[in-house]
Amino acid sequence: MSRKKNSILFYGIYGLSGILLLISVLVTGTYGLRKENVEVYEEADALQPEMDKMQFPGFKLEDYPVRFYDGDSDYVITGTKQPDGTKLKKESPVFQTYVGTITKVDGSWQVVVPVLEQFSQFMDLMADAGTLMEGGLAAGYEKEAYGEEEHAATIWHEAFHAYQMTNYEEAVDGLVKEELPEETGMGGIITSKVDQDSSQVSGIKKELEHLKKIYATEEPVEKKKQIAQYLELESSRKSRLSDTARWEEQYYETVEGTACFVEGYAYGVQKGTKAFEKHYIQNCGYSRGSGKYYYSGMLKCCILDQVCPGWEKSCDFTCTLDDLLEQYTNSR
Amino acid sequence: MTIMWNAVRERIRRKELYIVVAIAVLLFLLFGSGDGSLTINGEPVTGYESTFKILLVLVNAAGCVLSMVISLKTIPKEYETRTSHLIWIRGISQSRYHGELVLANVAASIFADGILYLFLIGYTLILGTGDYFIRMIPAYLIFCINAVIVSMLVSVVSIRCPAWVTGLVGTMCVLAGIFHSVLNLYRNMVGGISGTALKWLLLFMPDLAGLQTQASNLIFGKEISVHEILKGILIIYILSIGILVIRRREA
Repeated sequence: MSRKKNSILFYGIYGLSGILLLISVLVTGTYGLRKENVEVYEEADALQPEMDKMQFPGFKLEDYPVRFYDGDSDYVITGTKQPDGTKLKKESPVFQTYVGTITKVDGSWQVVVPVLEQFSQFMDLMADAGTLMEGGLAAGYEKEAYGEEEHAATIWHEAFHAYQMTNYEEAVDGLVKEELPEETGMGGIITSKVDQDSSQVSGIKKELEHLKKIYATEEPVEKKKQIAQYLELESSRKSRLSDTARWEEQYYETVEGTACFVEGYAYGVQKGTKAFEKHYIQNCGYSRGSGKYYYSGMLKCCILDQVCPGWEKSCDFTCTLDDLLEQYTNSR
Repeated sequence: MTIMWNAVRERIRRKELYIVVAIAVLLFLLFGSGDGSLTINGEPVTGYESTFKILLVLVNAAGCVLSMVISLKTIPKEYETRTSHLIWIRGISQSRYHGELVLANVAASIFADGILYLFLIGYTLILGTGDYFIRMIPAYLIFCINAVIVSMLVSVVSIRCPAWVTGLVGTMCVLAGIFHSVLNLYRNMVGGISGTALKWLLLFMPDLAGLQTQASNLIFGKEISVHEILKGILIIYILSIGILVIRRREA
Protein backbone atom coordinates (compact mmCIF):
# COMPACT_ATOMS: atom_id res chain seq x y z
CA MET A 1 0.00 0.00 0.00
CA SER A 2 2.80 2.36 0.99
CA ARG A 3 4.58 1.52 -2.28
CA LYS A 4 1.46 2.42 -4.23
CA LYS A 5 1.19 5.67 -2.31
CA ASN A 6 4.82 6.52 -3.08
CA SER A 7 4.24 5.77 -6.73
CA ILE A 8 1.18 8.04 -6.84
CA LEU A 9 3.15 10.76 -5.06
CA PHE A 10 6.07 10.38 -7.50
CA TYR A 11 3.91 10.56 -10.61
CA GLY A 12 1.87 13.40 -9.11
CA ILE A 13 4.94 15.54 -8.48
CA TYR A 14 6.43 14.49 -11.80
CA GLY A 15 3.29 15.44 -13.72
CA LEU A 16 2.84 18.70 -11.85
CA SER A 17 6.45 19.78 -12.46
CA GLY A 18 5.95 19.02 -16.15
CA ILE A 19 2.84 21.20 -16.30
CA LEU A 20 4.63 24.03 -14.45
CA LEU A 21 7.60 23.75 -16.78
CA LEU A 22 5.38 23.87 -19.85
CA ILE A 23 3.55 26.93 -18.51
CA SER A 24 6.89 28.66 -17.77
CA VAL A 25 8.09 28.01 -21.32
CA LEU A 26 4.86 29.41 -22.75
CA VAL A 27 4.86 32.44 -20.48
CA THR A 28 8.49 33.40 -21.15
CA GLY A 29 8.19 33.02 -24.95
CA THR A 30 8.04 35.96 -27.34
CA TYR A 31 5.00 36.11 -29.56
CA GLY A 32 4.38 38.49 -32.39
CA LEU A 33 6.74 41.26 -33.39
CA ARG A 34 9.56 41.94 -30.95
CA LYS A 35 9.55 45.41 -29.47
CA GLU A 36 13.02 46.17 -30.94
CA ASN A 37 11.44 46.25 -34.39
CA VAL A 38 8.76 48.71 -33.34
CA GLU A 39 11.55 50.79 -31.80
CA VAL A 40 13.47 50.64 -35.08
CA TYR A 41 10.42 51.91 -36.95
CA GLU A 42 9.88 54.67 -34.42
CA GLU A 43 13.56 55.64 -34.62
CA ALA A 44 13.32 55.75 -38.41
CA ASP A 45 10.10 57.75 -38.28
CA ALA A 46 11.63 60.21 -35.80
CA LEU A 47 14.31 61.04 -38.39
CA GLN A 48 11.71 62.64 -40.68
CA PRO A 49 12.49 66.31 -39.76
CA GLU A 50 16.18 65.71 -40.51
CA MET A 51 15.40 63.74 -43.67
CA ASP A 52 13.23 66.63 -44.87
CA LYS A 53 16.47 68.62 -45.25
CA MET A 54 17.20 66.43 -48.28
CA GLN A 55 14.32 68.17 -50.08
CA PHE A 56 13.00 65.29 -52.15
CA PRO A 57 9.49 66.69 -52.73
CA GLY A 58 6.87 65.00 -50.56
CA PHE A 59 9.08 62.15 -49.38
CA LYS A 60 7.62 60.94 -46.08
CA LEU A 61 8.27 57.59 -44.45
CA GLU A 62 4.77 57.50 -42.97
CA ASP A 63 3.34 57.25 -46.49
CA TYR A 64 4.77 53.76 -46.87
CA PRO A 65 3.76 50.95 -44.50
CA VAL A 66 6.71 48.81 -43.40
CA ARG A 67 6.33 45.02 -43.37
CA PHE A 68 8.63 43.18 -40.96
CA TYR A 69 8.95 39.53 -41.93
CA ASP A 70 9.88 37.22 -39.04
CA GLY A 71 10.04 33.93 -40.89
CA ASP A 72 6.35 33.15 -40.46
CA SER A 73 4.34 36.35 -40.81
CA ASP A 74 4.55 39.95 -41.92
CA TYR A 75 3.98 42.56 -39.23
CA VAL A 76 2.83 45.70 -40.95
CA ILE A 77 3.53 49.01 -39.25
CA THR A 78 1.95 52.15 -40.62
CA GLY A 79 2.85 55.71 -39.84
CA THR A 80 -0.72 56.71 -39.28
CA LYS A 81 -2.88 55.08 -36.63
CA GLN A 82 -5.29 52.37 -37.66
CA PRO A 83 -9.02 52.82 -36.90
CA ASP A 84 -8.73 50.24 -34.10
CA GLY A 85 -6.07 52.34 -32.42
CA THR A 86 -3.06 50.19 -33.19
CA LYS A 87 -0.27 50.86 -35.65
CA LEU A 88 0.59 47.19 -36.00
CA LYS A 89 -1.14 44.49 -38.03
CA LYS A 90 -0.22 40.85 -38.56
CA GLU A 91 -0.62 39.61 -42.14
CA SER A 92 0.34 36.67 -44.32
CA PRO A 93 3.87 37.14 -45.68
CA VAL A 94 4.24 38.65 -49.14
CA PHE A 95 7.64 37.00 -49.65
CA GLN A 96 8.45 33.87 -47.68
CA THR A 97 12.11 34.78 -47.61
CA TYR A 98 14.33 37.48 -46.15
CA VAL A 99 14.53 40.41 -48.49
CA GLY A 100 14.88 44.15 -48.27
CA THR A 101 12.58 45.36 -51.03
CA ILE A 102 9.25 46.99 -51.84
CA THR A 103 5.98 45.43 -52.87
CA LYS A 104 2.63 46.67 -54.11
CA VAL A 105 -0.25 45.79 -51.79
CA ASP A 106 -3.79 46.94 -52.59
CA GLY A 107 -2.47 49.45 -55.10
CA SER A 108 0.11 51.13 -52.87
CA TRP A 109 3.81 50.51 -52.35
CA GLN A 110 5.04 49.06 -49.08
CA VAL A 111 8.49 48.39 -47.65
CA VAL A 112 9.50 44.81 -46.84
CA VAL A 113 12.37 44.09 -44.45
CA PRO A 114 13.28 41.14 -42.26
CA VAL A 115 12.90 41.56 -38.50
CA LEU A 116 15.98 43.10 -36.93
CA GLU A 117 17.06 39.99 -35.02
CA GLN A 118 17.16 37.89 -38.18
CA PHE A 119 18.76 40.54 -40.34
CA SER A 120 21.37 41.26 -37.69
CA GLN A 121 22.14 37.55 -37.44
CA PHE A 122 22.38 37.38 -41.20
CA MET A 123 24.80 40.32 -41.28
CA ASP A 124 26.98 38.71 -38.61
CA LEU A 125 27.03 35.55 -40.64
CA MET A 126 27.97 37.46 -43.77
CA ALA A 127 30.72 39.25 -41.89
CA ASP A 128 31.95 35.93 -40.53
CA ALA A 129 32.07 34.54 -44.01
CA GLY A 130 33.99 37.60 -45.09
CA THR A 131 31.37 38.40 -47.62
CA LEU A 132 29.84 41.76 -48.29
CA MET A 133 26.23 41.78 -49.21
CA GLU A 134 25.81 43.03 -52.70
CA GLY A 135 23.69 46.09 -52.92
CA GLY A 136 25.11 48.42 -50.34
CA LEU A 137 22.94 47.41 -47.43
CA ALA A 138 25.64 45.55 -45.57
CA ALA A 139 28.67 46.94 -47.26
CA GLY A 140 31.32 48.08 -44.86
CA TYR A 141 29.58 47.08 -41.67
CA GLU A 142 31.91 45.49 -39.21
CA LYS A 143 31.09 42.24 -37.50
CA GLU A 144 28.26 42.56 -34.98
CA ALA A 145 27.75 46.17 -35.98
CA TYR A 146 24.35 45.79 -37.61
CA GLY A 147 21.86 47.16 -35.14
CA GLU A 148 18.82 49.38 -34.81
CA GLU A 149 20.39 52.43 -36.48
CA GLU A 150 21.51 50.42 -39.49
CA HIS A 151 18.10 48.81 -39.80
CA ALA A 152 16.41 52.22 -39.62
CA ALA A 153 18.71 53.39 -42.45
CA THR A 154 17.76 50.29 -44.48
CA ILE A 155 14.07 51.13 -44.00
CA TRP A 156 14.74 54.63 -45.38
CA HIS A 157 16.54 53.08 -48.37
CA GLU A 158 13.57 50.90 -49.23
CA ALA A 159 11.06 53.64 -48.44
CA PHE A 160 12.81 55.78 -51.04
CA HIS A 161 12.21 53.06 -53.63
CA ALA A 162 8.54 53.10 -52.63
CA TYR A 163 8.61 56.88 -53.12
CA GLN A 164 10.25 56.49 -56.55
CA MET A 165 7.69 53.96 -57.68
CA THR A 166 4.72 55.87 -56.28
CA ASN A 167 5.65 59.19 -57.87
CA TYR A 168 8.00 58.47 -60.78
CA GLU A 169 7.34 54.90 -61.92
CA GLU A 170 7.24 55.82 -65.59
CA ALA A 171 10.46 57.83 -65.41
CA VAL A 172 12.24 55.09 -63.46
CA ASP A 173 11.17 52.46 -66.00
CA GLY A 174 12.24 54.84 -68.76
CA LEU A 175 15.85 54.77 -67.58
CA VAL A 176 16.11 51.38 -69.26
CA LYS A 177 15.06 52.26 -72.76
CA GLU A 178 14.27 48.80 -74.11
CA GLU A 179 12.98 45.46 -72.93
CA LEU A 180 15.96 43.61 -71.48
CA PRO A 181 16.78 40.17 -72.83
CA GLU A 182 14.78 37.59 -70.88
CA GLU A 183 17.75 35.25 -70.38
CA THR A 184 19.83 37.82 -68.52
CA GLY A 185 17.19 40.08 -66.95
CA MET A 186 18.13 43.16 -64.97
CA GLY A 187 21.78 43.15 -63.98
CA GLY A 188 22.60 40.21 -66.23
CA ILE A 189 24.65 42.27 -68.68
CA ILE A 190 26.69 43.72 -65.82
CA THR A 191 27.91 40.35 -64.60
CA SER A 192 28.15 38.69 -67.99
CA LYS A 193 29.79 41.54 -69.90
CA VAL A 194 31.05 44.47 -67.80
CA ASP A 195 32.58 42.40 -64.98
CA GLN A 196 34.27 40.11 -67.50
CA ASP A 197 36.02 42.97 -69.28
CA SER A 198 39.27 43.89 -67.49
CA SER A 199 39.44 47.35 -69.08
CA GLN A 200 35.91 48.11 -67.82
CA VAL A 201 36.77 46.82 -64.34
CA SER A 202 39.92 48.92 -64.07
CA GLY A 203 38.01 51.90 -65.51
CA ILE A 204 35.25 51.59 -62.91
CA LYS A 205 37.81 51.27 -60.11
CA LYS A 206 39.55 54.42 -61.31
CA GLU A 207 36.22 56.28 -61.54
CA LEU A 208 35.25 55.31 -58.00
CA GLU A 209 38.55 56.60 -56.67
CA HIS A 210 38.10 59.77 -58.68
CA LEU A 211 34.62 60.30 -57.18
CA LYS A 212 36.01 59.85 -53.68
CA LYS A 213 38.69 62.44 -54.47
CA ILE A 214 36.05 64.91 -55.72
CA TYR A 215 34.02 64.34 -52.54
CA ALA A 216 37.07 65.17 -50.42
CA THR A 217 38.07 68.26 -52.41
CA GLU A 218 36.93 71.49 -50.81
CA GLU A 219 38.14 74.15 -53.25
CA PRO A 220 35.13 74.88 -55.57
CA VAL A 221 37.05 75.63 -58.79
CA GLU A 222 39.20 72.54 -58.40
CA LYS A 223 36.11 70.48 -57.56
CA LYS A 224 34.36 71.61 -60.73
CA LYS A 225 37.45 70.79 -62.78
CA GLN A 226 37.63 67.32 -61.27
CA ILE A 227 33.94 66.70 -61.99
CA ALA A 228 34.50 67.61 -65.65
CA GLN A 229 37.51 65.27 -65.77
CA TYR A 230 35.45 62.52 -64.21
CA LEU A 231 32.65 62.89 -66.74
CA GLU A 232 35.17 62.63 -69.56
CA LEU A 233 36.74 59.56 -68.01
CA GLU A 234 33.38 57.89 -67.55
CA SER A 235 32.13 58.83 -70.99
CA SER A 236 35.22 57.33 -72.61
CA ARG A 237 34.70 54.04 -70.78
CA LYS A 238 30.97 53.97 -71.46
CA SER A 239 31.54 54.51 -75.17
CA ARG A 240 32.95 50.98 -75.25
CA LEU A 241 29.77 49.54 -73.70
CA SER A 242 26.66 48.26 -75.44
CA ASP A 243 23.48 50.36 -75.16
CA THR A 244 21.90 47.81 -72.82
CA ALA A 245 24.87 47.82 -70.45
CA ARG A 246 24.88 51.62 -70.43
CA TRP A 247 21.15 51.72 -69.61
CA GLU A 248 21.63 49.24 -66.82
CA GLU A 249 24.47 51.30 -65.36
CA GLN A 250 22.44 54.49 -65.46
CA TYR A 251 19.41 52.72 -64.01
CA TYR A 252 21.34 51.38 -61.01
CA GLU A 253 23.21 54.62 -60.43
CA THR A 254 20.09 56.75 -60.58
CA VAL A 255 17.59 54.49 -58.83
CA GLU A 256 19.77 52.63 -56.36
CA GLY A 257 22.40 55.35 -55.98
CA THR A 258 19.79 57.85 -54.77
CA ALA A 259 18.27 55.23 -52.41
CA CYS A 260 21.74 54.48 -51.08
CA PHE A 261 22.28 58.22 -50.63
CA VAL A 262 19.07 58.39 -48.57
CA GLU A 263 20.19 55.36 -46.55
CA GLY A 264 23.59 56.91 -45.89
CA TYR A 265 21.97 60.20 -44.93
CA ALA A 266 19.73 58.45 -42.39
CA TYR A 267 22.78 56.60 -41.06
CA GLY A 268 24.76 59.85 -40.81
CA VAL A 269 21.94 61.64 -38.98
CA GLN A 270 21.97 58.90 -36.37
CA LYS A 271 25.67 58.15 -36.09
CA GLY A 272 27.40 61.30 -37.23
CA THR A 273 29.30 62.44 -40.33
CA LYS A 274 32.50 60.58 -39.41
CA ALA A 275 30.68 57.26 -39.12
CA PHE A 276 28.88 57.96 -42.40
CA GLU A 277 32.15 58.67 -44.20
CA LYS A 278 33.79 55.60 -42.72
CA HIS A 279 31.00 53.21 -43.69
CA TYR A 280 29.68 54.77 -46.86
CA ILE A 281 32.50 56.76 -48.49
CA GLN A 282 35.67 54.92 -47.53
CA ASN A 283 34.13 51.55 -48.26
CA CYS A 284 33.00 52.47 -51.75
CA GLY A 285 34.84 50.09 -53.97
CA TYR A 286 34.50 47.79 -56.94
CA SER A 287 32.45 44.64 -56.49
CA ARG A 288 31.02 42.21 -58.99
CA GLY A 289 27.38 42.75 -59.94
CA SER A 290 25.32 45.88 -59.52
CA GLY A 291 26.63 46.91 -56.07
CA LYS A 292 29.35 49.17 -57.46
CA TYR A 293 26.74 51.43 -59.07
CA TYR A 294 24.98 51.87 -55.73
CA TYR A 295 28.25 53.37 -54.49
CA SER A 296 29.04 55.46 -57.55
CA GLY A 297 25.44 56.73 -57.63
CA MET A 298 25.56 57.57 -53.94
CA LEU A 299 28.90 59.37 -54.35
CA LYS A 300 27.45 61.41 -57.19
CA CYS A 301 24.48 62.38 -55.00
CA CYS A 302 26.87 63.41 -52.21
CA ILE A 303 28.87 65.54 -54.65
CA LEU A 304 25.68 67.11 -56.03
CA ASP A 305 24.72 67.87 -52.46
CA GLN A 306 28.01 69.74 -52.03
CA VAL A 307 27.94 71.69 -55.30
CA CYS A 308 24.21 72.16 -55.91
CA PRO A 309 22.42 72.15 -52.55
CA GLY A 310 18.73 71.43 -53.01
CA TRP A 311 19.27 69.47 -56.24
CA GLU A 312 16.78 66.95 -54.88
CA LYS A 313 13.91 69.38 -55.43
CA SER A 314 14.12 68.91 -59.19
CA CYS A 315 15.01 65.20 -59.09
CA ASP A 316 12.20 63.52 -61.01
CA PHE A 317 14.28 60.66 -62.50
CA THR A 318 13.76 61.88 -66.04
CA CYS A 319 17.48 62.61 -66.20
CA THR A 320 20.47 60.76 -64.82
CA LEU A 321 22.88 61.86 -62.10
CA ASP A 322 25.51 62.35 -64.81
CA ASP A 323 23.13 64.77 -66.57
CA LEU A 324 22.82 66.76 -63.34
CA LEU A 325 26.61 66.83 -62.87
CA GLU A 326 27.06 67.90 -66.48
CA GLN A 327 24.52 70.70 -66.04
CA TYR A 328 26.62 71.90 -63.10
CA THR A 329 29.91 71.83 -64.99
CA ASN A 330 28.30 73.70 -67.89
CA SER A 331 26.94 76.36 -65.56
CA ARG A 332 28.96 79.51 -64.96
CA MET B 1 21.65 4.23 -7.54
CA THR B 2 23.94 1.18 -7.48
CA ILE B 3 23.20 0.49 -11.15
CA MET B 4 24.15 4.05 -12.06
CA TRP B 5 27.44 4.04 -10.14
CA ASN B 6 28.38 0.68 -11.61
CA ALA B 7 27.71 2.06 -15.10
CA VAL B 8 29.84 5.14 -14.36
CA ARG B 9 32.66 2.93 -13.05
CA GLU B 10 32.38 0.83 -16.20
CA ARG B 11 32.92 3.98 -18.25
CA ILE B 12 36.04 4.88 -16.30
CA ARG B 13 37.32 1.35 -16.79
CA ARG B 14 36.71 1.59 -20.54
CA LYS B 15 38.97 4.66 -20.59
CA GLU B 16 36.46 6.63 -22.69
CA LEU B 17 37.01 9.70 -20.56
CA TYR B 18 40.73 9.73 -21.24
CA ILE B 19 39.92 10.48 -24.89
CA VAL B 20 38.00 13.52 -23.69
CA VAL B 21 40.98 14.75 -21.70
CA ALA B 22 43.18 14.22 -24.75
CA ILE B 23 40.81 16.34 -26.90
CA ALA B 24 40.78 19.11 -24.28
CA VAL B 25 44.58 19.16 -24.10
CA LEU B 26 44.79 19.18 -27.88
CA LEU B 27 42.39 22.13 -28.10
CA PHE B 28 44.39 23.97 -25.49
CA LEU B 29 47.66 23.35 -27.28
CA LEU B 30 46.22 24.32 -30.65
CA PHE B 31 44.38 27.49 -29.74
CA GLY B 32 46.19 28.48 -26.58
CA SER B 33 49.38 28.99 -28.58
CA GLY B 34 50.09 31.67 -31.16
CA ASP B 35 50.58 29.12 -33.94
CA GLY B 36 47.03 27.86 -33.67
CA SER B 37 45.38 31.26 -33.62
CA LEU B 38 42.09 31.38 -35.48
CA THR B 39 41.65 33.45 -38.58
CA ILE B 40 38.45 34.67 -40.20
CA ASN B 41 38.55 36.09 -43.70
CA GLY B 42 42.34 35.91 -43.58
CA GLU B 43 42.43 38.21 -40.55
CA PRO B 44 43.68 36.79 -37.24
CA VAL B 45 41.06 36.81 -34.53
CA THR B 46 43.06 38.17 -31.65
CA GLY B 47 40.57 39.56 -29.13
CA TYR B 48 39.78 37.39 -26.13
CA GLU B 49 36.00 37.74 -26.49
CA SER B 50 35.79 36.85 -30.18
CA THR B 51 38.23 33.94 -29.83
CA PHE B 52 36.41 32.72 -26.75
CA LYS B 53 33.06 32.68 -28.55
CA ILE B 54 34.51 30.60 -31.36
CA LEU B 55 36.14 28.23 -28.89
CA LEU B 56 32.83 27.92 -27.05
CA VAL B 57 31.24 26.74 -30.31
CA LEU B 58 34.02 24.18 -30.77
CA VAL B 59 33.79 22.93 -27.19
CA ASN B 60 29.99 22.75 -27.48
CA ALA B 61 30.27 20.68 -30.65
CA ALA B 62 32.95 18.40 -29.17
CA GLY B 63 30.93 18.02 -25.95
CA CYS B 64 27.76 17.07 -27.82
CA VAL B 65 29.55 14.53 -30.02
CA LEU B 66 31.24 12.99 -26.98
CA SER B 67 27.94 12.79 -25.09
CA MET B 68 26.53 10.90 -28.06
CA VAL B 69 29.48 8.50 -28.19
CA ILE B 70 29.41 7.92 -24.44
CA SER B 71 25.67 7.19 -24.37
CA LEU B 72 25.27 5.28 -27.62
CA LYS B 73 25.90 1.72 -26.48
CA THR B 74 25.30 1.70 -22.73
CA ILE B 75 21.77 0.26 -22.78
CA PRO B 76 22.18 -2.11 -25.79
CA LYS B 77 25.38 -3.52 -24.24
CA GLU B 78 23.60 -4.28 -20.98
CA TYR B 79 21.15 -6.40 -22.94
CA GLU B 80 23.87 -7.95 -25.10
CA THR B 81 25.85 -9.11 -22.08
CA ARG B 82 22.63 -10.27 -20.41
CA THR B 83 23.35 -8.13 -17.35
CA SER B 84 19.70 -7.15 -17.55
CA HIS B 85 18.64 -10.65 -16.38
CA LEU B 86 20.44 -10.13 -13.09
CA ILE B 87 18.38 -6.97 -12.66
CA TRP B 88 15.00 -8.60 -13.33
CA ILE B 89 15.80 -11.32 -10.80
CA ARG B 90 16.05 -8.60 -8.16
CA GLY B 91 12.58 -7.35 -9.11
CA ILE B 92 13.78 -3.98 -10.38
CA SER B 93 11.43 -2.37 -12.90
CA GLN B 94 12.56 -1.74 -16.45
CA SER B 95 11.92 2.00 -16.21
CA ARG B 96 14.08 2.27 -13.09
CA TYR B 97 16.82 0.19 -14.68
CA HIS B 98 16.81 2.30 -17.84
CA GLY B 99 16.54 5.45 -15.77
CA GLU B 100 19.68 4.65 -13.79
CA LEU B 101 21.60 3.73 -16.93
CA VAL B 102 20.54 7.01 -18.53
CA LEU B 103 21.60 8.84 -15.38
CA ALA B 104 25.00 7.17 -15.66
CA ASN B 105 25.26 8.36 -19.25
CA VAL B 106 24.22 11.86 -18.24
CA ALA B 107 26.74 11.97 -15.38
CA ALA B 108 29.55 10.78 -17.65
CA SER B 109 28.53 13.31 -20.33
CA ILE B 110 28.45 16.21 -17.86
CA PHE B 111 31.85 15.11 -16.58
CA ALA B 112 33.31 14.87 -20.10
CA ASP B 113 31.78 18.21 -21.05
CA GLY B 114 33.21 19.66 -17.85
CA ILE B 115 36.72 18.54 -18.74
CA LEU B 116 36.40 20.26 -22.13
CA TYR B 117 34.98 23.32 -20.38
CA LEU B 118 38.01 23.33 -18.05
CA PHE B 119 40.07 24.11 -21.12
CA LEU B 120 37.97 27.26 -21.62
CA ILE B 121 38.38 28.16 -17.96
CA GLY B 122 42.15 27.78 -18.36
CA TYR B 123 42.03 29.98 -21.45
CA THR B 124 40.07 32.63 -19.51
CA LEU B 125 42.50 32.51 -16.59
CA ILE B 126 45.37 33.24 -18.97
CA LEU B 127 43.76 35.78 -21.31
CA GLY B 128 40.44 36.86 -19.77
CA THR B 129 39.51 38.77 -16.65
CA GLY B 130 38.40 37.73 -13.16
CA ASP B 131 34.80 38.74 -13.88
CA TYR B 132 34.55 36.37 -16.80
CA PHE B 133 36.09 33.58 -14.76
CA ILE B 134 33.54 33.94 -11.95
CA ARG B 135 30.62 33.98 -14.37
CA MET B 136 31.94 30.90 -16.17
CA ILE B 137 30.94 28.69 -13.27
CA PRO B 138 27.17 29.38 -13.32
CA ALA B 139 27.37 29.54 -17.13
CA TYR B 140 28.39 25.88 -17.12
CA LEU B 141 25.01 24.97 -15.65
CA ILE B 142 23.43 26.35 -18.82
CA PHE B 143 26.13 25.04 -21.12
CA CYS B 144 25.90 21.44 -19.87
CA ILE B 145 22.16 21.27 -20.64
CA ASN B 146 23.24 20.51 -24.22
CA ALA B 147 25.29 17.49 -23.13
CA VAL B 148 22.37 16.28 -21.00
CA ILE B 149 19.92 16.61 -23.90
CA VAL B 150 22.16 14.74 -26.34
CA SER B 151 22.98 12.03 -23.83
CA MET B 152 19.34 11.49 -22.85
CA LEU B 153 18.11 11.58 -26.42
CA VAL B 154 20.63 8.99 -27.60
CA SER B 155 19.99 6.84 -24.52
CA VAL B 156 16.22 6.87 -24.99
CA VAL B 157 16.46 6.04 -28.70
CA SER B 158 18.93 3.25 -27.93
CA ILE B 159 16.38 1.45 -25.73
CA ARG B 160 14.52 0.17 -28.76
CA CYS B 161 16.53 1.02 -31.86
CA PRO B 162 19.65 -0.62 -33.28
CA ALA B 163 22.96 1.22 -32.85
CA TRP B 164 23.04 2.55 -36.43
CA VAL B 165 19.59 4.16 -36.10
CA THR B 166 20.55 5.65 -32.73
CA GLY B 167 23.79 6.95 -34.21
CA LEU B 168 21.96 8.46 -37.17
CA VAL B 169 19.31 10.15 -35.01
CA GLY B 170 21.99 11.40 -32.60
CA THR B 171 24.20 12.78 -35.38
CA MET B 172 21.22 14.52 -37.01
CA CYS B 173 20.18 16.09 -33.72
CA VAL B 174 23.71 17.23 -32.89
CA LEU B 175 24.28 18.74 -36.33
CA ALA B 176 20.84 20.37 -36.54
CA GLY B 177 21.17 21.55 -32.94
CA ILE B 178 24.61 23.10 -33.32
CA PHE B 179 23.69 24.77 -36.59
CA HIS B 180 20.13 25.51 -35.48
CA SER B 181 20.28 29.29 -35.88
CA VAL B 182 22.17 29.08 -39.18
CA LEU B 183 19.68 26.53 -40.55
CA ASN B 184 16.79 28.64 -39.32
CA LEU B 185 18.23 31.62 -41.13
CA TYR B 186 18.81 29.52 -44.23
CA ARG B 187 15.25 28.17 -44.31
CA ASN B 188 13.96 31.74 -44.28
CA MET B 189 16.31 32.72 -47.06
CA VAL B 190 15.41 29.87 -49.37
CA GLY B 191 11.69 29.80 -48.63
CA GLY B 192 9.50 27.42 -50.68
CA ILE B 193 9.11 23.71 -50.07
CA SER B 194 12.66 23.15 -48.81
CA GLY B 195 12.23 26.06 -46.43
CA THR B 196 8.98 24.62 -45.09
CA ALA B 197 10.51 21.13 -44.74
CA LEU B 198 13.46 22.59 -42.84
CA LYS B 199 11.10 24.57 -40.64
CA TRP B 200 9.31 21.40 -39.54
CA LEU B 201 12.56 19.54 -39.07
CA LEU B 202 13.98 22.29 -36.87
CA LEU B 203 10.80 22.37 -34.82
CA PHE B 204 11.68 18.91 -33.48
CA MET B 205 15.41 19.49 -33.09
CA PRO B 206 16.84 20.90 -29.85
CA ASP B 207 18.42 24.34 -30.27
CA LEU B 208 21.89 23.51 -28.93
CA ALA B 209 23.30 26.74 -30.39
CA GLY B 210 20.69 28.79 -28.52
CA LEU B 211 21.72 27.36 -25.16
CA GLN B 212 25.39 27.88 -25.93
CA THR B 213 24.60 31.53 -26.76
CA GLN B 214 22.88 31.96 -23.40
CA ALA B 215 25.96 30.60 -21.61
CA SER B 216 28.12 33.01 -23.62
CA ASN B 217 25.76 35.91 -22.81
CA LEU B 218 25.98 35.11 -19.11
CA ILE B 219 29.79 35.10 -19.22
CA PHE B 220 29.97 38.42 -21.05
CA GLY B 221 27.29 40.09 -18.94
CA LYS B 222 24.71 40.28 -21.70
CA GLU B 223 20.99 39.66 -21.36
CA ILE B 224 20.10 35.97 -21.21
CA SER B 225 16.91 34.41 -22.49
CA VAL B 226 15.20 32.46 -19.68
CA HIS B 227 12.86 31.07 -22.32
CA GLU B 228 15.73 29.33 -24.15
CA ILE B 229 16.96 27.73 -20.92
CA LEU B 230 13.47 26.60 -19.90
CA LYS B 231 12.97 25.14 -23.36
CA GLY B 232 16.14 23.06 -22.85
CA ILE B 233 14.88 21.83 -19.50
CA LEU B 234 11.49 21.00 -21.02
CA ILE B 235 13.23 18.85 -23.65
CA ILE B 236 15.01 17.00 -20.85
CA TYR B 237 11.64 16.50 -19.15
CA ILE B 238 10.05 15.16 -22.33
CA LEU B 239 12.97 12.77 -22.80
CA SER B 240 12.57 11.58 -19.23
CA ILE B 241 8.98 10.58 -20.11
CA GLY B 242 10.55 8.46 -22.85
CA ILE B 243 12.55 6.56 -20.23
CA LEU B 244 9.39 5.78 -18.30
CA VAL B 245 7.31 4.86 -21.32
CA ILE B 246 9.64 3.09 -23.76
CA ARG B 247 10.20 -0.56 -22.95
CA ARG B 248 12.32 -3.30 -24.43
CA ARG B 249 10.78 -6.64 -25.40
CA GLU B 250 13.64 -8.88 -24.17
CA ALA B 251 12.91 -8.00 -20.57
